[in-house]
Amino acid sequence: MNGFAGRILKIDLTTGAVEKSPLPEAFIRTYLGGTGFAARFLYDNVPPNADALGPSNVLILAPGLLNGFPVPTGGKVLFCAKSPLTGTIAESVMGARLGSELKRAGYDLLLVSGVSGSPCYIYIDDEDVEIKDAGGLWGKDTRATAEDIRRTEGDAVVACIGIAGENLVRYANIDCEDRQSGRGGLGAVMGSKRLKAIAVKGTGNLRPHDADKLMDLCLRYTERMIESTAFNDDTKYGTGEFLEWMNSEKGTFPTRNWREGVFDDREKIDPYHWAPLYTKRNNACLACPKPCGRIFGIDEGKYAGLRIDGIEYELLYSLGGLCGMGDIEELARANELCDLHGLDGISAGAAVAFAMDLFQDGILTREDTGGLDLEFGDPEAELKLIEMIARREGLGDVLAEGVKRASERIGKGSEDYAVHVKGMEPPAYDVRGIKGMALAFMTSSRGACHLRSCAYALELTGKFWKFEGVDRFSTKGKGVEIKELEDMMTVYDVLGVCKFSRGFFLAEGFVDILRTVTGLEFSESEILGLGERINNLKHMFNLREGLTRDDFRLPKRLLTLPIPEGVSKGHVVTEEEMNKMLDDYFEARGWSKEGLPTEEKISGLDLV
Amino acid sequence: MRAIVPHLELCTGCRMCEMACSLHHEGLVNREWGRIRIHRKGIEHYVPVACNQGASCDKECVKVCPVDCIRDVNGHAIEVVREECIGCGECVEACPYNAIHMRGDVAFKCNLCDGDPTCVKFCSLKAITFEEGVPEEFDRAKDAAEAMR
Ligand code: SF4
Ligand code: SF4
Ligand code: SF4
Repeated sequence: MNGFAGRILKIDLTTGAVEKSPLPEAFIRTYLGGTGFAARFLYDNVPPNADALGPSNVLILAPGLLNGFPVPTGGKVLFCAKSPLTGTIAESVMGARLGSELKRAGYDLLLVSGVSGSPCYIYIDDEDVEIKDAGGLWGKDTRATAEDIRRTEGDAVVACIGIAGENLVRYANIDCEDRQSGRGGLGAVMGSKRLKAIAVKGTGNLRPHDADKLMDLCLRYTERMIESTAFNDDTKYGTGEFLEWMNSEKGTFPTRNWREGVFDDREKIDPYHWAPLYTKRNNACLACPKPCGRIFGIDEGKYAGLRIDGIEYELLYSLGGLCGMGDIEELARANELCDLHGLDGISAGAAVAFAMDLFQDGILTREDTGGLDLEFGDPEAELKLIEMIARREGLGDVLAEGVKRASERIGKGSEDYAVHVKGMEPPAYDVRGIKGMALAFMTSSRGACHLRSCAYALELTGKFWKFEGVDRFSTKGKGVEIKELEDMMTVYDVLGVCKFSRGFFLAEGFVDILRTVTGLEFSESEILGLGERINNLKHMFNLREGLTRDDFRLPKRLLTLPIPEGVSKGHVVTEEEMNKMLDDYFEARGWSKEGLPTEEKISGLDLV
Repeated sequence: MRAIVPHLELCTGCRMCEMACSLHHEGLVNREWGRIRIHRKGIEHYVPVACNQGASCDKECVKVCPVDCIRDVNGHAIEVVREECIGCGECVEACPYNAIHMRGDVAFKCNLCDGDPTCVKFCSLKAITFEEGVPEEFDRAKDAAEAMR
């Protein structure tokens, strides 16, 4: 079928077997691509209760359906596996060329199973698929690894892990050309398979169903994006653009391990302040005409020569405000450490902030920290601890487990300091003052997450898509809202389109794009139905892993400690509000009070 | 003659130009069919390279073609007349800018889309423009691309 490569590639690292099989057409229609393919393959290929870091977990690489075509921002690809951090499905999307390259090599999906006897990397060059020795690469950082492989394999696109993945840090990530598949510990899954890297070269053609119409559509959307108001802010200041707004106007910027919702040092980490001083150039994801990615560079001082892509809003929070740290150069260095070692910067920052908080209250002492004074705002302590996490040294070994497991190990009431849902440390939205987002954290299939629903956009502005007049402090109507947004955003992950373009396409726009690329006719409601099907499938995977209603709870701090200062002062999510929103959500999903889908629901969604 | 002029500091590496060029001319997407190509090295460098239409070269491709199939057909651009190309690859060897390519047994290069360049429309940050170029601009891109090899 047009738009697809038509085949699946399976590699078993235990036996070395390589299998190429055709992609059945019925399967295409039901799951379309990206997260749809990935969720189905995960469900079918991982036995219940498999060890996420053992041989029976699989690592899936799934390009979005539109990867490779010039549909603006349609260059997203994702990795998927059972998460070593949450035990749920993990998937993490990045804007790298890896997806289009895999499709051009002739595969719509790569599934890696088993465990290699020794460090290896996978090399794919169209029909030529090899498992190669990576002994010399083990221990290297992500940039050096990619450079080494490109030296041998020429112009391949390389995804790889750093030492955090090798050391099975439960939130290690996967890097590809300075883009990361960041959340949920997919890098640790790679590490557990002793798979250092995946290098792909593809030379095949990608043929759309109707090239002329596709050209028109791509150009129209590109022009629309260039003319949009977001263009200037995105390209000049990146995702941190709304940091000041989140602090001053909304009072929902989680600070010092969620003790506060406004960061006093925010001006120093606000891109309106630092972007003009440090931004070297824009750095786009594949196919993006309005790149929020920018190269941050330091030319003088102790970090002279530092270059990273960022600093993203999420890391300004996790490595900045959450740790009470307001020095932008030190923050950049922390970001660089995470990138080079292959650590999810959100979870890493959250783990450091959690430890600082415990230190402040005397639950951790210098004895536990190896003599380190873990004061909020101390960059030296932060950098040292990140290094210790990546290497699993001392306290770092405990924190490498994520805040949930770490608090279980530390005990002494530290559970009350561990902010997570399903074991995942949350992103930069103080949901005590954004009730719909609180629900979104609770319901997301991969643990606390802003991107399964993107509800923050609607909640904070009151208006998006078909919703209007939404009040962020109210719990009313949030069940339906989050369900609908999750279904819509899942479509973005099927097609591989950036959620920062969410306002441009919506289900309506995707009807035409799908037709011109594949020839498939999908109505708007069928497109949303696809999102619903996939979300139910992910939920079924999680239920099979033993998840219950209890796993949808918010952490204690967000239920008991009101935001102390700022515009959202006094707000908290009460136990009652939490339960009401969850009831509403389960109802909107057609699930029981315990979160179980009915037989009817499952067969109605074609999911048997 | 006007040509596709690269502005190195502005290129974001989005590769819209490559994809759009190939889609426009071939009805499919393949970077190896792009008349414009983006070269990348490390985290900081992207370089767009397309033919300068003689603004900065001596039209070596035209000179070496044994069957004279590279020529100015319509006053817009120097192009490869596909039907006449015998696939010898001499032009590819001769171009100092690495701006003419072979795929299968046919050479192809930028023909400025008959005077209405597709790639430029897709370049949101104006890292490539359609204008009268000065040789230094093309040479900087050439040197930068060569340094990446
Ligand atoms: S479209 Fe412009 S910014 Fe994007 S890769 Fe091409 S020249 Fe660079
Ligand atoms: S293809 Fe090369 S040699 Fe020919 S005109 Fe263009 S830049 Fe000059
Ligand atoms: S002007 Fe046309 S032919 Fe030349 S590089 Fe741009 S899109 Fe390709």
